[in-house]
Amino acid sequence: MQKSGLLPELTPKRREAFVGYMFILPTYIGFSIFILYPLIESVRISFQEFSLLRGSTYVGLENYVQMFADARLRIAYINTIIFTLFAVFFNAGIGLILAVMLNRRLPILMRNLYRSVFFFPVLIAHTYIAVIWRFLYQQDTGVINYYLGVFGVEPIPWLSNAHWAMAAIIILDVWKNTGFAMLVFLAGLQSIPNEYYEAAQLDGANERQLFFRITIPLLSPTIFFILVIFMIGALQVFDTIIVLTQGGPGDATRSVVLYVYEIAFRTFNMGYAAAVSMTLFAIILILTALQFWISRRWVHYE
Amino acid sequence: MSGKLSRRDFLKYTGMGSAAAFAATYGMPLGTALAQAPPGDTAGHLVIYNFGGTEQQRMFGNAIARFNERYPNVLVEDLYIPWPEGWGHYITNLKLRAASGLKTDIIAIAIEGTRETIFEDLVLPMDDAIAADEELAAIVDEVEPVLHNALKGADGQTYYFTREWNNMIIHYNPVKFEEAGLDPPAVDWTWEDFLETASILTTGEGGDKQFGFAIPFFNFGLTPWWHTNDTSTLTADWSQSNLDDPKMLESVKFVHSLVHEHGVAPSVEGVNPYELFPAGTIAMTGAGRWPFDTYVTTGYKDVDITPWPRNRKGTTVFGSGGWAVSKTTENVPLALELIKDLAAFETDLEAVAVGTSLPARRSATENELFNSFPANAHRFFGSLEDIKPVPSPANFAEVESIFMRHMSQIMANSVTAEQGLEAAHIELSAAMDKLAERLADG
Repeated sequence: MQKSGLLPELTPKRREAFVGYMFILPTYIGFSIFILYPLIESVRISFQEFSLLRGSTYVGLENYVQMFADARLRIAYINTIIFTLFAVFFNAGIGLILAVMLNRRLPILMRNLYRSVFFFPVLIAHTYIAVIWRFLYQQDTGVINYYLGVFGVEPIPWLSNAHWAMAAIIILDVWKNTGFAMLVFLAGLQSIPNEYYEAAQLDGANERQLFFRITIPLLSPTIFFILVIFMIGALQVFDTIIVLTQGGPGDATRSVVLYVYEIAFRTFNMGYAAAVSMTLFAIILILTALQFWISRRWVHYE
Repeated sequence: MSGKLSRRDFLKYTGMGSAAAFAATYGMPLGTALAQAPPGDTAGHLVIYNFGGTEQQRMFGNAIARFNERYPNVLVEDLYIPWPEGWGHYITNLKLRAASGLKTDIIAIAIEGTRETIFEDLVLPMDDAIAADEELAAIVDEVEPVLHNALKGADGQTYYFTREWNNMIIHYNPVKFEEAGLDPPAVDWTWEDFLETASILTTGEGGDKQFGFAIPFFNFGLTPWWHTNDTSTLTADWSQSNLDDPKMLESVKFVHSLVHEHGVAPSVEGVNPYELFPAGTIAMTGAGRWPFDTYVTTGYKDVDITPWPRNRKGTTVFGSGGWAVSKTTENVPLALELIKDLAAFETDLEAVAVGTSLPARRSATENELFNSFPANAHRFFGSLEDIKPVPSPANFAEVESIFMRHMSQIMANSVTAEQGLEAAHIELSAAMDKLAERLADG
């Protein structure tokens, strides 16, 4: 066998590994510059009273200690957890229902049409959507309350009441993102071989048994993927809230990331903002690891 | 004392150094050096850190073209930020440029950010240059003193040349007034007159509902209610919270009552008054001149302006923007020459046509174009007789954030006006104390 001119001394196995590393090198460089380095810098800044132009001073754990006395951060974390629980549940749940409905024997044209309609909001930028929904949600002049009024429902203070404002954000998020979950579930459903269903039907299984005994177990890797992705995204919610409620009324809908933005760019307290970011990073890391650990009990790979 | 040169000192010395080097080269005092226009064949590169709308970008592009007629070998880069989401973010980007060693020659900013840029040593003081340069002195003289003074630093020095301004004034629909059998508002109308008028103009139900007024629910938009009650969010020197002033409580309660007691204004969340007004859903709102470019573009004509209703005082609020020379510039005299074109009378005349703000010079408004629409356009400059700038300390972004957060809770009925203002006062006082420490540390 003729040796490669570029890698004459390497064994085939090492050469293969070398080529593999070369393929991932651009991604690795990008990751190092745009993710790893800023992350390390954030850790460093979190131990400083940071100033861009006046020089920074090392303050030890002061920024981390400050968090324990920060009532607003506590509210931001509670808001973020509430949002995450509801957004993940409804996005995954409604996405799964839509996918199952679309996976039935529909004409291809109809299936593609419905799939496109449900997926379309995913393609539009959050900011545009939130601006439109802000008008829809308005208490006295909004379209939603107008139609609710037709049915005798009193105007709902969607954006000006603490509880309704969070509901408004979750509704918008589910409308926007459930199409993505639907598409991924649909791909998962279509990869389940028909033979399983046919064999089960021959054994007398009903629709409910087919769904819970075959569909759900074989779809569990996809469900796991969706739960992880949506949980990470929900914990970092920002753009929908800043356009829709700006965290208000008061702090009723302020998420952790929105709070970090406020500390960093309104009060210019970059050190504290970096410290808060680090706690969120740690929480996301722990929750994701926990999900992977628990997944061993319920996720089934063929 | 540490022998290490801080970044701040570096910026200070490079800025002053460039002017000093120029002075040394020509063997003349600094002020005189700044006043000497570089020769027309000077080659160079100037960077403007700028903001605004598309039409303004075109307007300043024309100013740059006029500059390039005088200095054809100078490349001007206009780093244009479309209307910034907040001045805090705008200033942070500016600081990032300085910290990264990226040069900026001219800085444009609104009054909300001027004190922060001065405190951070991002801009050069201009008093010497103005004293030594007749053209710069003329630019300052032609601008209304109240506008020029508002952009000065806490040290009383001039750092900014006025770029434009806007005040808060009532926009009303004369057709709706006529239909309701109402005379146009008197120039000295009171809060009571306003409430009575707004009540008459609030009609209909459901989809046909029309409100008398829509509250411009942002810091600048709310400030006239405080100023016309002879109070404000901060003390007169912008150093302490003034939210414990009983007059602030009275003002906030009045604004709250417009929605929750009298029902003459829609709930504030999600409302854009500048879309509802031309749509005919509201009869009055408050704004500066900025909606007029939309009125003109869309052919909307049913609008006139009148002073803000008064309680204790007939006044309102204004905000302005300015041009400054950055401390990171390598060519102060050339940057000043460009500012002369950016702040020229020709630019002011174009600003009249663009319609997003008011020109710095009253003389630029003495023409048919400005005075033909709205009918009482002269009231924009008329308001300057007794007016105060929007309180803009060096921590403006934080002040705005604290106040509006509590104000939104009050308007949402999550807390009473008393509770909301008390909590805001405590938080704002702590922020102002922290600012005082920062300013003292220098």
